[in-house]
Amino acid sequence: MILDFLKIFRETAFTEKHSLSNGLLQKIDSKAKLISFIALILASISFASVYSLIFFLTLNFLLAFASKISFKTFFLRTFFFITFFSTLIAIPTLFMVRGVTLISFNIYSVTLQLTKEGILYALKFILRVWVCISSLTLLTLTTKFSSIINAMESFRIPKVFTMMTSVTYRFLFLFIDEAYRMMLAKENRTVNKMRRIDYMKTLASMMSSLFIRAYERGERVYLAMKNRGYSMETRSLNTVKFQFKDALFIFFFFVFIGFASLIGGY
Amino acid sequence: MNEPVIELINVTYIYPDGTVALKDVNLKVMKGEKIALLGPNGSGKSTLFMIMAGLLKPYKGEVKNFLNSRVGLAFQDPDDQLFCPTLLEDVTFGPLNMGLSKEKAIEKAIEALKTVGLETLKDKPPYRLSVGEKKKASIATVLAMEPEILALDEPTSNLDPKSRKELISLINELCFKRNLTLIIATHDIPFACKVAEKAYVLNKGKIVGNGKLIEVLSNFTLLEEAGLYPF
Repeated sequence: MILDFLKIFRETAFTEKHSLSNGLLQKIDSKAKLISFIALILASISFASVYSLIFFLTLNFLLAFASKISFKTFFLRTFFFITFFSTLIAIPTLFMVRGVTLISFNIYSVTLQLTKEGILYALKFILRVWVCISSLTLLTLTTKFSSIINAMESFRIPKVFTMMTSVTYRFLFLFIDEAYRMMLAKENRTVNKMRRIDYMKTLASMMSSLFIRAYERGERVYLAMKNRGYSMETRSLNTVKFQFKDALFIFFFFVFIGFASLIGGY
Repeated sequence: MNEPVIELINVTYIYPDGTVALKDVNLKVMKGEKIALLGPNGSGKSTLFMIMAGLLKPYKGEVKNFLNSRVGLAFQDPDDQLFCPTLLEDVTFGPLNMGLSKEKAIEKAIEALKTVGLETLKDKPPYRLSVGEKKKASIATVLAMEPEILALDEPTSNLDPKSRKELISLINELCFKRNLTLIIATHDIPFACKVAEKAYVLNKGKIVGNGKLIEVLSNFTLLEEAGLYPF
Protein backbone atom coordinates (compact mmCIF):
# COMPACT_ATOMS: atom_id res chain seq x y z
CA MET A 1 0.00 0.00 0.00
CA ILE A 2 2.86 2.37 0.90
CA LEU A 3 4.52 1.49 -2.40
CA ASP A 4 1.30 2.37 -4.25
CA PHE A 5 1.01 5.61 -2.35
CA LEU A 6 4.61 6.57 -3.18
CA LYS A 7 4.00 5.66 -6.81
CA ILE A 8 0.90 7.88 -7.01
CA PHE A 9 2.72 10.65 -5.16
CA ARG A 10 5.66 10.46 -7.55
CA GLU A 11 3.43 10.58 -10.60
CA THR A 12 1.04 13.30 -9.48
CA ALA A 13 2.60 15.61 -6.92
CA PHE A 14 5.40 16.96 -9.05
CA THR A 15 3.86 17.13 -12.46
CA GLU A 16 4.02 20.60 -13.96
CA LYS A 17 1.90 19.88 -17.02
CA HIS A 18 -1.04 21.99 -15.78
CA SER A 19 1.20 25.00 -15.14
CA LEU A 20 2.27 24.87 -18.79
CA SER A 21 -1.21 24.72 -20.34
CA ASN A 22 -2.94 27.81 -21.68
CA GLY A 23 -5.70 28.38 -19.12
CA LEU A 24 -7.00 31.39 -17.21
CA LEU A 25 -4.94 31.11 -14.04
CA GLN A 26 -1.80 30.20 -15.97
CA LYS A 27 -1.95 33.67 -17.57
CA ILE A 28 -2.19 35.45 -14.23
CA ASP A 29 0.93 36.62 -12.45
CA SER A 30 2.00 34.45 -9.52
CA LYS A 31 1.92 37.42 -7.11
CA ALA A 32 -1.72 38.16 -7.97
CA LYS A 33 -2.63 34.50 -7.49
CA LEU A 34 -0.78 34.26 -4.19
CA ILE A 35 -2.55 37.35 -2.77
CA SER A 36 -5.96 36.21 -4.01
CA PHE A 37 -5.77 32.65 -2.74
CA ILE A 38 -4.36 33.66 0.64
CA ALA A 39 -7.26 36.13 0.95
CA LEU A 40 -9.69 33.35 0.05
CA ILE A 41 -8.18 31.01 2.64
CA LEU A 42 -8.28 33.71 5.33
CA ALA A 43 -11.89 34.54 4.47
CA SER A 44 -12.93 30.90 4.61
CA ILE A 45 -11.33 30.25 8.00
CA SER A 46 -12.36 33.47 9.68
CA PHE A 47 -15.96 34.41 9.06
CA ALA A 48 -17.61 32.35 6.36
CA SER A 49 -21.01 30.65 6.60
CA VAL A 50 -21.81 27.29 4.99
CA TYR A 51 -23.34 29.10 1.99
CA SER A 52 -20.31 31.32 1.46
CA LEU A 53 -18.03 28.30 1.79
CA ILE A 54 -20.05 26.57 -0.93
CA PHE A 55 -19.66 29.74 -3.04
CA PHE A 56 -15.89 29.71 -2.48
CA LEU A 57 -15.67 26.06 -3.41
CA THR A 58 -17.75 26.64 -6.52
CA LEU A 59 -15.43 29.50 -7.47
CA ASN A 60 -12.41 27.22 -7.15
CA PHE A 61 -14.04 24.53 -9.30
CA LEU A 62 -14.96 27.15 -11.93
CA LEU A 63 -11.42 28.51 -11.89
CA ALA A 64 -10.08 24.96 -12.26
CA PHE A 65 -12.36 24.46 -15.27
CA ALA A 66 -11.21 27.78 -16.79
CA SER A 67 -7.61 26.72 -16.20
CA LYS A 68 -8.09 23.49 -18.16
CA ILE A 69 -7.90 21.17 -15.16
CA SER A 70 -10.38 18.34 -15.48
CA PHE A 71 -13.12 18.03 -12.85
CA LYS A 72 -12.03 14.49 -12.00
CA THR A 73 -8.38 15.46 -11.45
CA PHE A 74 -9.29 18.47 -9.36
CA PHE A 75 -11.89 16.59 -7.29
CA LEU A 76 -9.57 13.65 -6.59
CA ARG A 77 -6.64 15.88 -5.72
CA THR A 78 -8.57 18.17 -3.44
CA PHE A 79 -10.96 15.73 -1.82
CA PHE A 80 -9.31 12.36 -1.64
CA PHE A 81 -5.98 13.03 0.04
CA ILE A 82 -6.78 15.51 2.78
CA THR A 83 -10.47 16.37 2.83
CA PHE A 84 -11.33 12.69 3.15
CA PHE A 85 -9.21 12.45 6.31
CA SER A 86 -10.70 15.67 7.68
CA THR A 87 -14.13 14.07 7.18
CA LEU A 88 -13.00 11.20 9.38
CA ILE A 89 -11.80 13.70 11.98
CA ALA A 90 -15.12 15.59 11.83
CA ILE A 91 -17.30 12.50 12.50
CA PRO A 92 -17.07 12.68 16.33
CA THR A 93 -18.19 16.33 16.32
CA LEU A 94 -21.54 15.17 14.90
CA PHE A 95 -22.32 13.76 18.33
CA MET A 96 -20.34 16.14 20.52
CA VAL A 97 -21.92 19.50 19.73
CA ARG A 98 -25.03 20.21 21.76
CA GLY A 99 -28.21 21.36 20.03
CA VAL A 100 -31.43 20.18 18.47
CA THR A 101 -31.38 16.36 18.51
CA LEU A 102 -32.23 14.76 15.17
CA ILE A 103 -31.50 11.11 15.94
CA SER A 104 -30.65 9.46 19.21
CA PHE A 105 -29.35 5.91 19.68
CA ASN A 106 -27.68 3.79 22.32
CA ILE A 107 -24.43 1.84 22.02
CA TYR A 108 -24.14 -0.35 25.14
CA SER A 109 -24.79 2.13 27.91
CA VAL A 110 -23.74 5.24 25.97
CA THR A 111 -26.39 7.44 24.37
CA LEU A 112 -25.30 9.19 21.18
CA GLN A 113 -27.24 12.17 19.91
CA LEU A 114 -26.85 13.40 16.38
CA THR A 115 -27.58 17.15 16.48
CA LYS A 116 -28.36 19.68 13.79
CA GLU A 117 -25.59 21.95 15.15
CA GLY A 118 -23.16 18.99 15.09
CA ILE A 119 -23.89 18.35 11.41
CA LEU A 120 -23.42 22.06 10.59
CA TYR A 121 -20.18 22.18 12.57
CA ALA A 122 -18.80 19.10 10.80
CA LEU A 123 -19.97 20.40 7.42
CA LYS A 124 -18.30 23.77 7.99
CA PHE A 125 -15.10 22.07 9.06
CA ILE A 126 -15.00 19.83 5.98
CA LEU A 127 -15.89 22.69 3.64
CA ARG A 128 -13.24 24.95 5.17
CA VAL A 129 -10.57 22.31 4.73
CA TRP A 130 -11.78 21.66 1.18
CA VAL A 131 -11.71 25.38 0.25
CA CYS A 132 -8.20 25.78 1.71
CA ILE A 133 -6.86 22.65 0.03
CA SER A 134 -8.51 23.43 -3.30
CA SER A 135 -7.12 27.01 -3.22
CA LEU A 136 -3.60 25.81 -2.58
CA THR A 137 -3.98 23.03 -5.15
CA LEU A 138 -5.14 25.55 -7.77
CA LEU A 139 -2.21 27.80 -6.97
CA THR A 140 0.40 25.05 -7.16
CA LEU A 141 -1.14 23.32 -10.19
CA THR A 142 -1.30 26.46 -12.31
CA THR A 143 1.96 28.05 -11.22
CA LYS A 144 5.52 26.89 -11.61
CA PHE A 145 7.08 26.38 -8.22
CA SER A 146 9.87 28.82 -9.08
CA SER A 147 7.26 31.52 -9.75
CA ILE A 148 5.61 30.90 -6.37
CA ILE A 149 9.00 31.32 -4.71
CA ASN A 150 9.59 34.51 -6.72
CA ALA A 151 6.19 35.83 -5.64
CA MET A 152 6.99 35.05 -1.99
CA GLU A 153 10.26 36.97 -2.36
CA SER A 154 8.42 39.92 -3.87
CA PHE A 155 6.33 40.12 -0.71
CA ARG A 156 9.53 40.45 1.32
CA ILE A 157 9.13 37.03 2.92
CA PRO A 158 12.60 36.41 4.43
CA LYS A 159 14.92 34.93 1.84
CA VAL A 160 16.12 32.26 4.24
CA PHE A 161 12.54 30.99 4.40
CA THR A 162 12.00 31.07 0.62
CA MET A 163 15.37 29.41 0.05
CA MET A 164 14.53 26.65 2.51
CA THR A 165 11.09 26.17 0.95
CA SER A 166 12.66 25.94 -2.47
CA VAL A 167 15.33 23.46 -1.35
CA THR A 168 12.75 21.39 0.55
CA TYR A 169 10.56 21.15 -2.53
CA ARG A 170 13.53 20.29 -4.70
CA PHE A 171 14.73 17.49 -2.46
CA LEU A 172 11.29 16.19 -1.55
CA PHE A 173 11.18 14.85 -5.08
CA LEU A 174 14.54 13.18 -4.66
CA PHE A 175 13.62 11.59 -1.34
CA ILE A 176 10.23 10.39 -2.55
CA ASP A 177 12.18 8.78 -5.37
CA GLU A 178 14.67 7.31 -2.93
CA ALA A 179 11.93 6.02 -0.62
CA TYR A 180 10.21 4.48 -3.64
CA ARG A 181 13.40 2.69 -4.70
CA MET A 182 13.96 1.45 -1.15
CA MET A 183 10.41 0.10 -1.04
CA LEU A 184 10.93 -1.61 -4.41
CA ALA A 185 14.18 -3.18 -3.14
CA LYS A 186 12.33 -4.41 -0.05
CA GLU A 187 9.49 -5.86 -2.14
CA ASN A 188 12.06 -7.53 -4.38
CA ARG A 189 13.50 -9.39 -1.40
CA THR A 190 10.19 -10.23 0.23
CA VAL A 191 9.07 -13.75 -0.62
CA ASN A 192 6.32 -14.57 1.85
CA LYS A 193 3.80 -12.23 3.38
CA MET A 194 5.51 -10.44 6.25
CA ARG A 195 4.11 -10.42 9.75
CA ARG A 196 2.75 -7.00 10.64
CA ILE A 197 5.34 -6.51 13.38
CA ASP A 198 8.20 -7.39 11.02
CA TYR A 199 6.77 -5.09 8.38
CA MET A 200 6.64 -2.23 10.87
CA LYS A 201 10.22 -2.93 11.96
CA THR A 202 11.43 -2.90 8.35
CA LEU A 203 9.59 0.35 7.71
CA ALA A 204 11.13 1.90 10.82
CA SER A 205 14.65 0.95 9.75
CA MET A 206 13.99 2.30 6.26
CA MET A 207 12.74 5.57 7.70
CA SER A 208 15.82 5.95 9.88
CA SER A 209 18.04 5.16 6.91
CA LEU A 210 16.20 7.76 4.84
CA PHE A 211 16.61 10.30 7.63
CA ILE A 212 20.39 9.74 7.75
CA ARG A 213 20.59 9.97 3.97
CA ALA A 214 18.62 13.22 4.07
CA TYR A 215 20.96 14.60 6.72
CA GLU A 216 24.07 13.65 4.76
CA ARG A 217 22.58 15.02 1.56
CA GLY A 218 21.87 18.30 3.38
CA GLU A 219 25.53 18.52 4.39
CA ARG A 220 26.70 17.92 0.84
CA VAL A 221 24.26 20.44 -0.62
CA TYR A 222 25.48 23.03 1.86
CA LEU A 223 29.09 22.37 0.81
CA ALA A 224 28.09 22.66 -2.86
CA MET A 225 26.43 26.00 -2.08
CA LYS A 226 29.47 27.17 -0.15
CA ASN A 227 31.67 26.21 -3.10
CA ARG A 228 29.65 28.64 -5.18
CA GLY A 229 30.07 31.54 -2.83
CA TYR A 230 27.04 31.12 -0.55
CA SER A 231 27.42 33.07 2.65
CA MET A 232 23.99 32.82 4.32
CA GLU A 233 22.76 35.64 2.10
CA THR A 234 20.39 34.45 -0.57
CA ARG A 235 20.32 36.17 -3.92
CA SER A 236 17.92 35.11 -6.58
CA LEU A 237 16.56 35.96 -10.00
CA ASN A 238 13.18 37.57 -9.65
CA THR A 239 11.76 38.29 -13.04
CA VAL A 240 8.05 38.50 -12.19
CA LYS A 241 6.21 41.30 -14.02
CA PHE A 242 2.92 42.60 -12.68
CA GLN A 243 0.41 43.77 -15.29
CA PHE A 244 -2.98 45.46 -15.43
CA LYS A 245 -4.84 42.18 -15.98
CA ASP A 246 -3.33 40.86 -12.74
CA ALA A 247 -4.61 43.88 -10.80
CA LEU A 248 -8.03 43.30 -12.38
CA PHE A 249 -7.95 39.65 -11.32
CA ILE A 250 -7.20 40.63 -7.71
CA PHE A 251 -9.99 43.24 -7.78
CA PHE A 252 -12.67 40.81 -9.01
CA PHE A 253 -11.44 38.10 -6.68
CA PHE A 254 -11.73 40.41 -3.67
CA VAL A 255 -15.17 41.65 -4.77
CA PHE A 256 -16.33 38.03 -4.97
CA ILE A 257 -14.84 37.17 -1.58
CA GLY A 258 -16.51 40.26 -0.06
CA PHE A 259 -19.85 39.41 -1.63
CA ALA A 260 -19.73 35.74 -0.64
CA SER A 261 -18.61 36.55 2.91
CA LEU A 262 -21.59 38.81 3.42
CA ILE A 263 -24.03 35.99 2.72
CA GLY A 264 -25.74 35.17 5.97
CA GLY A 265 -27.33 31.91 7.03
CA TYR A 266 -25.62 28.98 8.63
CA MET B 1 52.69 25.93 -17.06
CA ASN B 2 55.51 26.07 -14.51
CA GLU B 3 53.63 28.28 -12.08
CA PRO B 4 52.18 26.43 -9.07
CA VAL B 5 48.51 27.10 -8.30
CA ILE B 6 47.74 24.77 -5.40
CA GLU B 7 49.95 22.79 -3.10
CA LEU B 8 48.99 20.40 -0.34
CA ILE B 9 51.70 19.77 2.23
CA ASN B 10 51.39 16.80 4.60
CA VAL B 11 47.61 17.08 4.65
CA THR B 12 45.80 14.74 7.02
CA TYR B 13 42.03 14.63 7.42
CA ILE B 14 40.14 12.66 10.04
CA TYR B 15 36.36 12.38 10.02
CA PRO B 16 34.44 12.95 13.29
CA ASP B 17 33.91 9.17 13.67
CA GLY B 18 37.71 8.68 13.69
CA THR B 19 38.08 7.45 10.10
CA VAL B 20 41.36 8.65 8.65
CA ALA B 21 40.37 9.85 5.18
CA LEU B 22 43.74 11.33 4.18
CA LYS B 23 47.18 10.81 5.65
CA ASP B 24 50.19 13.02 4.94
CA VAL B 25 49.12 13.85 1.41
CA ASN B 26 51.54 15.94 -0.64
CA LEU B 27 50.36 17.21 -3.98
CA LYS B 28 51.33 20.11 -6.22
CA VAL B 29 49.26 21.42 -9.12
CA MET B 30 50.83 23.64 -11.74
CA LYS B 31 48.94 26.13 -13.88
CA GLY B 32 47.32 24.58 -16.95
CA GLU B 33 48.03 21.00 -15.84
CA LYS B 34 45.55 18.21 -16.47
CA ILE B 35 45.70 15.86 -13.54
CA ALA B 36 43.87 12.62 -12.87
CA LEU B 37 43.50 11.61 -9.27
CA LEU B 38 43.17 7.85 -9.55
CA GLY B 39 41.91 5.74 -6.70
CA PRO B 40 39.34 3.12 -5.79
CA ASN B 41 36.06 3.89 -4.01
CA GLY B 42 36.63 5.22 -0.52
CA SER B 43 40.27 6.12 -1.12
CA GLY B 44 39.72 9.77 -0.11
CA LYS B 45 39.43 11.43 -3.52
CA SER B 46 36.29 13.42 -2.72
CA THR B 47 37.68 14.52 0.66
CA LEU B 48 40.86 15.68 -1.05
CA PHE B 49 38.79 17.72 -3.51
CA MET B 50 36.82 19.34 -0.70
CA ILE B 51 40.05 20.30 1.02
CA MET B 52 41.48 21.75 -2.21
CA ALA B 53 38.30 23.77 -2.70
CA GLY B 54 38.56 25.08 0.87
CA LEU B 55 35.31 23.42 1.94
CA LEU B 56 36.97 21.25 4.58
CA LYS B 57 39.88 22.26 6.75
CA PRO B 58 42.67 19.70 7.11
CA TYR B 59 43.19 18.17 10.52
CA LYS B 60 46.91 18.57 9.98
CA GLY B 61 49.06 20.04 7.22
CA GLU B 62 48.79 23.03 4.95
CA VAL B 63 46.97 24.01 1.75
CA LYS B 64 48.59 26.75 -0.29
CA ASN B 65 46.51 28.48 -2.96
CA PHE B 66 49.25 30.56 -4.55
CA LEU B 67 47.22 32.70 -6.94
CA ASN B 68 44.06 32.71 -4.81
CA SER B 69 42.54 30.70 -7.66
CA ARG B 70 38.90 29.83 -7.65
CA VAL B 71 38.33 26.07 -7.57
CA GLY B 72 35.16 25.14 -9.42
CA LEU B 73 34.21 21.81 -7.91
CA ALA B 74 31.57 19.65 -9.59
CA PHE B 75 30.40 17.09 -7.05
CA GLN B 76 30.17 13.38 -7.71
CA ASP B 77 26.39 13.37 -7.36
CA PRO B 78 24.99 16.21 -9.49
CA ASP B 79 21.85 16.23 -7.34
CA ASP B 80 23.97 17.75 -4.56
CA GLN B 81 24.82 20.60 -6.83
CA LEU B 82 21.47 21.33 -8.44
CA PHE B 83 19.07 22.61 -5.80
CA CYS B 84 17.20 25.52 -7.41
CA PRO B 85 13.74 25.37 -9.01
CA THR B 86 15.11 25.92 -12.52
CA LEU B 87 18.40 25.20 -14.26
CA LEU B 88 18.99 28.89 -15.03
CA GLU B 89 18.61 29.80 -11.36
CA ASP B 90 21.04 27.05 -10.43
CA VAL B 91 23.64 28.32 -12.88
CA THR B 92 23.18 31.95 -11.80
CA PHE B 93 23.53 31.00 -8.11
CA GLY B 94 27.33 31.27 -8.17
CA PRO B 95 27.63 34.50 -10.23
CA LEU B 96 25.00 36.21 -8.04
CA ASN B 97 26.94 35.21 -4.92
CA MET B 98 30.04 36.71 -6.54
CA GLY B 99 28.20 40.02 -6.45
CA LEU B 100 27.36 40.27 -10.15
CA SER B 101 24.17 42.06 -11.22
CA LYS B 102 21.19 39.94 -12.28
CA GLU B 103 21.68 40.83 -15.94
CA LYS B 104 25.38 39.98 -15.85
CA ALA B 105 24.71 36.76 -13.90
CA ILE B 106 22.13 35.66 -16.49
CA GLU B 107 24.56 36.47 -19.28
CA LYS B 108 27.28 34.34 -17.64
CA ALA B 109 24.81 31.53 -16.99
CA ILE B 110 23.53 31.45 -20.56
CA GLU B 111 27.11 31.40 -21.82
CA ALA B 112 27.97 28.49 -19.49
CA LEU B 113 24.82 26.62 -20.53
CA LYS B 114 25.66 27.17 -24.19
CA THR B 115 29.15 25.79 -23.58
CA VAL B 116 27.73 22.55 -22.21
CA GLY B 117 24.91 22.50 -24.77
CA LEU B 118 21.99 22.89 -22.39
CA GLU B 119 20.78 26.42 -23.15
CA THR B 120 17.43 25.14 -24.42
CA LEU B 121 16.75 23.49 -21.07
CA LYS B 122 17.38 26.60 -18.96
CA ASP B 123 13.80 26.83 -17.66
CA LYS B 124 13.53 23.15 -16.78
CA PRO B 125 13.60 22.01 -13.17
CA PRO B 126 16.88 20.11 -12.59
CA TYR B 127 15.10 16.96 -11.37
CA ARG B 128 13.61 16.57 -14.85
CA LEU B 129 17.04 16.25 -16.46
CA SER B 130 18.71 12.97 -17.40
CA VAL B 131 21.87 11.88 -15.54
CA GLY B 132 24.07 12.99 -18.45
CA GLU B 133 22.35 16.38 -18.59
CA LYS B 134 22.67 16.75 -14.83
CA LYS B 135 26.42 16.11 -15.04
CA LYS B 136 26.77 18.77 -17.73
CA ALA B 137 24.54 21.12 -15.77
CA SER B 138 26.68 20.72 -12.66
CA ILE B 139 29.74 21.62 -14.74
CA ALA B 140 27.87 24.67 -16.07
CA THR B 141 27.13 25.82 -12.50
CA VAL B 142 30.85 26.11 -11.81
CA LEU B 143 31.83 27.32 -15.30
CA ALA B 144 29.57 30.35 -14.89
CA MET B 145 31.86 31.45 -12.06
CA GLU B 146 34.85 31.34 -14.42
CA PRO B 147 37.09 29.24 -12.18
CA GLU B 148 40.82 28.97 -12.79
CA ILE B 149 40.79 25.35 -11.62
CA LEU B 150 38.10 22.89 -12.66
CA ALA B 151 37.78 19.94 -10.29
CA LEU B 152 35.47 17.14 -11.40
CA ASP B 153 34.66 14.39 -8.94
CA GLU B 154 33.88 11.07 -10.69
CA PRO B 155 32.46 12.82 -13.76
CA THR B 156 31.73 9.60 -15.68
CA SER B 157 29.87 7.69 -12.97
CA ASN B 158 26.44 6.46 -14.14
CA LEU B 159 26.95 7.79 -17.67
CA ASP B 160 26.04 5.88 -20.81
CA PRO B 161 28.72 5.64 -23.57
CA LYS B 162 27.23 8.49 -25.63
CA SER B 163 27.07 10.91 -22.68
CA ARG B 164 30.56 9.81 -21.63
CA LYS B 165 31.91 10.58 -25.10
CA GLU B 166 30.20 13.98 -25.08
CA LEU B 167 31.66 14.73 -21.66
CA ILE B 168 35.18 13.88 -22.81
CA SER B 169 34.85 16.26 -25.78
CA LEU B 170 33.42 18.95 -23.53
CA ILE B 171 36.25 18.69 -20.98
CA ASN B 172 38.96 18.77 -23.64
CA GLU B 173 37.30 21.70 -25.41
CA LEU B 174 36.97 23.61 -22.13
CA CYS B 175 40.59 23.10 -21.19
CA PHE B 176 41.73 24.15 -24.65
CA LYS B 177 39.53 27.24 -24.99
CA ARG B 178 39.65 28.52 -21.43
CA ASN B 179 43.14 27.38 -20.52
CA LEU B 180 41.84 25.77 -17.37
CA THR B 181 43.77 23.75 -14.86
CA LEU B 182 41.95 20.44 -14.66
CA ILE B 183 41.82 17.92 -11.84
CA ILE B 184 39.60 14.88 -12.14
CA ALA B 185 38.99 12.25 -9.51
CA THR B 186 38.17 8.93 -11.09
CA HIS B 187 38.73 5.20 -11.20
CA ASP B 188 37.74 5.14 -14.85
CA ILE B 189 41.21 4.67 -16.36
CA PRO B 190 40.20 4.81 -20.07
CA PHE B 191 38.45 8.11 -19.36
CA ALA B 192 41.51 9.49 -17.54
CA CYS B 193 43.65 8.58 -20.57
CA LYS B 194 41.47 10.79 -22.77
CA VAL B 195 41.57 13.93 -20.63
CA ALA B 196 44.62 13.91 -18.34
CA GLU B 197 48.37 14.10 -18.76
CA LYS B 198 49.55 13.56 -15.22
CA ALA B 199 48.29 11.23 -12.48
CA TYR B 200 48.34 10.76 -8.74
CA VAL B 201 47.32 7.41 -7.30
CA LEU B 202 45.48 7.56 -4.02
CA ASN B 203 44.91 4.46 -1.93
CA LYS B 204 43.56 4.28 1.62
CA GLY B 205 44.09 8.01 2.05
CA LYS B 206 47.72 8.04 0.92
CA ILE B 207 49.37 9.11 -2.32
CA VAL B 208 51.08 5.90 -3.41
CA GLY B 209 52.33 7.03 -6.80
CA ASN B 210 52.48 9.96 -9.19
CA GLY B 211 54.00 11.02 -12.46
CA LYS B 212 53.10 11.24 -16.11
CA LEU B 213 49.87 9.35 -16.76
CA ILE B 214 51.53 6.95 -19.20
CA GLU B 215 54.24 6.10 -16.65
CA VAL B 216 51.74 5.58 -13.84
CA LEU B 217 49.59 3.35 -16.03
CA SER B 218 52.63 1.26 -16.95
CA ASN B 219 53.17 0.39 -13.32
CA PHE B 220 50.76 -2.57 -13.07
CA THR B 221 51.90 -3.55 -9.59
CA LEU B 222 51.04 -0.11 -8.26
CA LEU B 223 47.66 -0.12 -10.00
CA GLU B 224 46.86 -3.64 -8.85
CA GLU B 225 47.69 -2.80 -5.26
CA ALA B 226 45.44 0.24 -5.49
CA GLY B 227 42.61 -1.90 -6.88
CA LEU B 228 42.69 -0.14 -10.25
CA TYR B 229 43.93 -3.02 -12.42
CA PRO B 230 42.72 -4.78 -14.55
CA PHE B 231 40.74 -1.91 -16.04
